[in-house]
Amino acid sequence: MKISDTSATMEDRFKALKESNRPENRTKWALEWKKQGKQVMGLLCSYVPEELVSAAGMLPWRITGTWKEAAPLAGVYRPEMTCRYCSHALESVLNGELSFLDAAAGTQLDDDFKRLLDVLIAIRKPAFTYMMYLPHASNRITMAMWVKSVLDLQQTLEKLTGVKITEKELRRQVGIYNRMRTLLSKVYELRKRDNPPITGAEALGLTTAARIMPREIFNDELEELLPYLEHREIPLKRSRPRLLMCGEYLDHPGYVDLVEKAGAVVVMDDFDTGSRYFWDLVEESSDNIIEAIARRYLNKPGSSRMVNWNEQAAQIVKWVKEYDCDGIVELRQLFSLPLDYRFFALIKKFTAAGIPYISVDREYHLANEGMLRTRVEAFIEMILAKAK
Amino acid sequence: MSNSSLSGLAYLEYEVARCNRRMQRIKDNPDPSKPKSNVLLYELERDFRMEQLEAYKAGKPFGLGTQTGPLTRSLGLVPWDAVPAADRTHGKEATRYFDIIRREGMPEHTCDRCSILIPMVLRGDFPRPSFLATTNYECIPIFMANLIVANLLDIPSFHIDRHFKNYKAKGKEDDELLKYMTDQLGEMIEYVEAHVPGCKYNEDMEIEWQHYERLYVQQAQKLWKLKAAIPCPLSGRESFREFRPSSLYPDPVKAVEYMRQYVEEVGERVDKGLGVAQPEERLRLLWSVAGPFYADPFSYLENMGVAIPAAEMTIYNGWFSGRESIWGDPWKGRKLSPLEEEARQMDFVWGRAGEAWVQTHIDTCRDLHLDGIVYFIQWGCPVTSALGKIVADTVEAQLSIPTLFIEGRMLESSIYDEKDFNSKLKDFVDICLERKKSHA
Amino acid sequence: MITAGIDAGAENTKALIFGADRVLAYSIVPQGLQAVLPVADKALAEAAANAGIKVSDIDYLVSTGIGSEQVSFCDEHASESAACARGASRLIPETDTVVDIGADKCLVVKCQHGRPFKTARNDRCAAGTSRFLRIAAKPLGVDVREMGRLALRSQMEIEIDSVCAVFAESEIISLIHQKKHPEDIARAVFKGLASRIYTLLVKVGFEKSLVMVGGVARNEGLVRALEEKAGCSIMIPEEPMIAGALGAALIACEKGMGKKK
Repeated sequence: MKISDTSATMEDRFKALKESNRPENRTKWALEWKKQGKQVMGLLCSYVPEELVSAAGMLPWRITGTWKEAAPLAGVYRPEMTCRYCSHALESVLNGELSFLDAAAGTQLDDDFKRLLDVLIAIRKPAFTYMMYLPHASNRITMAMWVKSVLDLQQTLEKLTGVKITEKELRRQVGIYNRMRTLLSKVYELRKRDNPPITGAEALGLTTAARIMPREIFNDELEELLPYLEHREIPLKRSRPRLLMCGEYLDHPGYVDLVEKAGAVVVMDDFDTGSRYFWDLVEESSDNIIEAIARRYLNKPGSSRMVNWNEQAAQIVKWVKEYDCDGIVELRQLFSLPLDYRFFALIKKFTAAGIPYISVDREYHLANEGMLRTRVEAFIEMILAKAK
Repeated sequence: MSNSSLSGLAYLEYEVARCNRRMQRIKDNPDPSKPKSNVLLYELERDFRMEQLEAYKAGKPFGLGTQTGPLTRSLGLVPWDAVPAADRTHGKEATRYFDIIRREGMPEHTCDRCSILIPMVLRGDFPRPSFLATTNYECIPIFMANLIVANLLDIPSFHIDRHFKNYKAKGKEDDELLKYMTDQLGEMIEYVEAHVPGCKYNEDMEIEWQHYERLYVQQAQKLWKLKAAIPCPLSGRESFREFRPSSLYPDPVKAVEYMRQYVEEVGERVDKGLGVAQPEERLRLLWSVAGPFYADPFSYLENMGVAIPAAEMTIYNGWFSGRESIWGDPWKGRKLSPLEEEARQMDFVWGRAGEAWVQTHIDTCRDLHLDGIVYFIQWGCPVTSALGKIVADTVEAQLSIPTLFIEGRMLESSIYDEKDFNSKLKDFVDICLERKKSHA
Repeated sequence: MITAGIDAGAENTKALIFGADRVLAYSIVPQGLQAVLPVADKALAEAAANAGIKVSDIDYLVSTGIGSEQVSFCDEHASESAACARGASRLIPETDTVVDIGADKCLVVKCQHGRPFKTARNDRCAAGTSRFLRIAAKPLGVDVREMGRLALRSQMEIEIDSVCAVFAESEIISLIHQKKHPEDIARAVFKGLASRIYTLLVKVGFEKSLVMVGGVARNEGLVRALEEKAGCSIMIPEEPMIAGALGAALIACEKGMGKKK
């Protein structure tokens, strides 16, 4: 199956791909998958090893919340001042938009997610929801327990689908996912250029598309598009400042677009929905493929819920250097607590590294654009003034 | 903010003076309606603050081992308890801290106690610890608040991660998870001994502290049975008095004695048929999670004939009701090693999956013959607030009792509207009474 | 037996005289910045005069509302949900769920035989109350009632994406600057409020026979928006403002039995 009409222009194909996660296109691939008699598993966390889900014959489909302001049905379960992504994700379950999901899975990454999974389990929507244990630190002892967690996921999936996950299939899936990661890395590599051929908003469009499409189809399409992207040119008003964006559960490209429209070039991100989704490969040559998968997931650039804040900061600083960034804009989702805490750890490190940094609250859905833009514009002015 | 500035004494000195003042007041003007054992309680609190004060002045190791005291103390650490300390700042003091929090962009949408402890420690109002253990056992805010303190003040810290499964529940003892926790604690001991000068693990000491902890909890189990009495002998304030483990105090023998005396006094009240609800007990409610501690909703309810026999805010109801193993209970017929014991008790109800949180509400309502739940939606506490509806639906289905959701902050009072709050309580009392009538 | 109910709200105090199983008279007095007690006194005196009785003829008096505790001359206080359920069920017997929107509150009561079975209320801020409507109407240069009529003429759906009343105000101003039609903005305001009320309705498990009381119940824009959201039609009593006072008077009948002064 091809993603689009081959007679379409490359730009049209790119547009179709990067807009896959827009509300009007979002369920398309999942519904196609269902038509083939196969199951779809909704994922709420980038730590659930997707290779296993795929090896069980299910489509791992990252749940995006409703992008609307109101979440009246979720409001029954969750007070307003709790993680807005979780509320909007719950809204999309309760309003029937996700009734096609056969199952859902996530980790107890933080209280909001744990309780969201608890609610899904209690109300049995989807019919089956699985909570996976994820340690918040990576060391010898926790890694061993995490491997057990991954094995438990494997057994759960086998029971759910009746499919035996063979090592051969698992290794094949690792190949597919590593190819996806490599392709996305190549796209990100292009962003290092002085005139990046894709915008930050487009990059987020691609990474969020990857998480809801059959990965092989995504890979084939992206591979064919790569040569085009390498030569693509986008008109830039100015090439500086170049920014790295931080945030979590940020899946609306409108937020990146807003920063770019304010006069910056967004060349890198620390989003769980972006770079952190595909960073680092699973070691394919490992004798024990489950352990290799476990290692990749627990050791990839971490969520702010992980204790290794200093490593997270160091990773961001490294990216800032590699991507030649002039500053960092963080858009923290309101009422999602960990970034509020990590903020102070980051300030300390970024100040030491001499990197300008701003952190602003945002909603989950696209809102308060005017206020945000004013803040970002002031930040950009500050960077430009400093450069002079 | 260094140890040498000794600015961390402000809070401790204030608390010592406060305890002394209270003891003096009781001595000069004894209030027969208050428990006589309160004198012992204030003594314990004062002695603890004095111990912290002296340790801090002398540069002795100060810190947080685990949530439980025996291991902390057997490592040679004086317990560091910033979270309960922050709880004492309600009212104006809390508002003052929130002004700092907002001005400096510190976490504001998290729960009050975790918001407040950050400026409290960073500004040196509460002493800087020499070691911090971070764990996910309670909730993200406490975990992150400890993590940020450790990170900003460069304090040696060690993370202990725990599974969400309730591995110590009677009949479900899970050896693998017990070992997981025990192994991590073992690593932590090595880390503390290597990084915190003056710390050395002493197993004999741990055994002794655990022994007193058992005696202490056994008293609390007796109290639980007394709480079931009709009319209820405890005021809402007493139900909310945070259960402080005996190992927190420098003298565990005195702590056990305090608990014994207090339980005895409550027993006397039960024998005499004394209740707190006036003019007579019409209703018994469970108050869940937290409340507006700067105000007094309990007296308002008690004057309407409503008793609050229990607060559901901790792991401890599991201990009290005997549903969860306490210190020294056998594990599949064998005695646990001191470190395994510690590992078992790290199983904290909030860190578990939702089913346990729901079940503890049902168990408490059953045990104590309750007619409804006031479920306080504390800002920034998703672990409890995002499960309220499931709790309400389950108790409704299983026990046919209603739940009131009431939103607010526990320490910061500037948005509190007493009229509105009480009006909601009154609404709810009416509904509970109607329900009770229809059940009868 | 003659009884009276007083509903001391944030904006108006309502007093109602009840006798021979019917409403004899009522009065509505604006609260303004005065203390609750004298206003309640005045409302009761007016209602009694309208009924052609003396205040001393009243056998039993029950007060309710946010200012209830200050009405020291009453015999008893009733909770808002009890009064609301009783009053609305009397006005419209098939009442299943009542929505009572006041200046500072939004109360939803699911009833069983005219008694409250489950309630839900707004928390925290103005966003779920009629105060929100006033804040929103200001930049449009109309009053709340006009805003309601305006909304009915809307041809296009737009969204206000701020949760907070204060943010919503600035968003409305920016919508005006974007030359959006006032009627569409008005509709969006009511849609936002309706969505909040809807959450409360789901919380109490509303099924059917939805009744709205309180002054805002006369606002067509809000009623339409809530009907669309809830997917059912809403019944409104002829005088929606007196439901609480009537409920209090009915409770007075029950409580006053055998306790006649």
